[in-house]
Amino acid sequence: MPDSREPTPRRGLLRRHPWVVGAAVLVTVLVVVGTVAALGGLARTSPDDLRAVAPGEEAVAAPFRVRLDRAEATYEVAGDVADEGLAFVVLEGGLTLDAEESVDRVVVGEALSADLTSTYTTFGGPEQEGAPTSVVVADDGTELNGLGPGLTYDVLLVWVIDEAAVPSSMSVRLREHTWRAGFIDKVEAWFDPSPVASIRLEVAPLPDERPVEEPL
Amino acid sequence: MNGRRRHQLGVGLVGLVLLGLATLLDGRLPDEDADPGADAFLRTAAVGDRVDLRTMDVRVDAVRTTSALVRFGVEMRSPGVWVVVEYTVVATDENTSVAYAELRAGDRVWSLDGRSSNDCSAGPPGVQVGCVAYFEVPRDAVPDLRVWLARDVVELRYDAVADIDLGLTAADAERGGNAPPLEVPDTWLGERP
Repeated sequence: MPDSREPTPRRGLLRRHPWVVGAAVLVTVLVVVGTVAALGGLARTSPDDLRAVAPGEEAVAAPFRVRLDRAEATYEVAGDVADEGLAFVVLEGGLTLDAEESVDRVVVGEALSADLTSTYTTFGGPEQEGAPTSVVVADDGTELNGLGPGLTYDVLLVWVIDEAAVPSSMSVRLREHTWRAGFIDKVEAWFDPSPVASIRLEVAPLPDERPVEEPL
Repeated sequence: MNGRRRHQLGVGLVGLVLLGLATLLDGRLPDEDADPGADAFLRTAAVGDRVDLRTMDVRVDAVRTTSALVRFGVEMRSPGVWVVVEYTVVATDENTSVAYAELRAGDRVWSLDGRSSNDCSAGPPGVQVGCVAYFEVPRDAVPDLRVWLARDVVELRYDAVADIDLGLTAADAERGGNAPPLEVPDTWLGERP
């Protein structure tokens, strides 16, 4: 019984002209890669034409309206004192939800991306996307883990940061979401945060002394 | 071309055909909107009415508005107004609770995201459980508010949902906006304290 893995008498193109086929494949790959690169590549777009927003100016980044007033570095926010070696960068501003349904903290966090380094998530891990560690209601110091339609809050956007990494200025990108059905469960929600505006603010420096936390 | 190659080619072809079919069908298959039979069974009612949700009965007992809520000693001041809904649940056959609560006014929906919350424990059949849900909403929404209460926290399809008109007015919004802080009422089991 003949072994089906034996080469057939009619040899294929690859066997007859391996160098030609290899060169054709290489040229094809180069053309595809070159075309993709010429069109901007596969990396996330980083548009340079972001709308520059001034401090105190309100900007729309669906589903939110955002206003950022001033930034400061501090050791204490709403009664919480930063752990040793850490500090807070706090941005004062306003946040309004212009949508018909409530959104959770994930959407809020995705809408704001700071260029700070060495910041942390709520759970203490490194923050990769520049999202604030927490959003605090300025009026009462409670955490805002989402918001409902039509509500406007004065907020403190708080980044937990290594003390040594506190900058003298910072830039925040406002990212706009798109309301669409999810690919998997078809449930409509806010997806695809994409930068639409940028705000640059000076960061008031840390105070000279760290406050002493009162024992519980 | 030998038999093995033909087999591989056939498998690839079938795969491509299936992918093509899936691409064509994507977006054309029935979804939630195309399946009205799966819609929740809305049981409309007013404050004080007993609503049969098959697995339990619910009744909204009281609705209050305030500018600030106190929860575990922490005051939460709202830029709008807090709406506190106290309601009673009686499970029918098994331990059941209301896990789904939201406020609606027209097309706007305030769910339990953010500082809003729903405190409701599962009670045994036939025993009253006092529950509390509180939401912060803009003042202009207060006169149209309805509360939806249901058993499952996510899935409303095929289930019964209480759709209760809270009967609030613009005056309630005004009064609530100027009211002193309100302690979140305790939940209870058995007899109302």
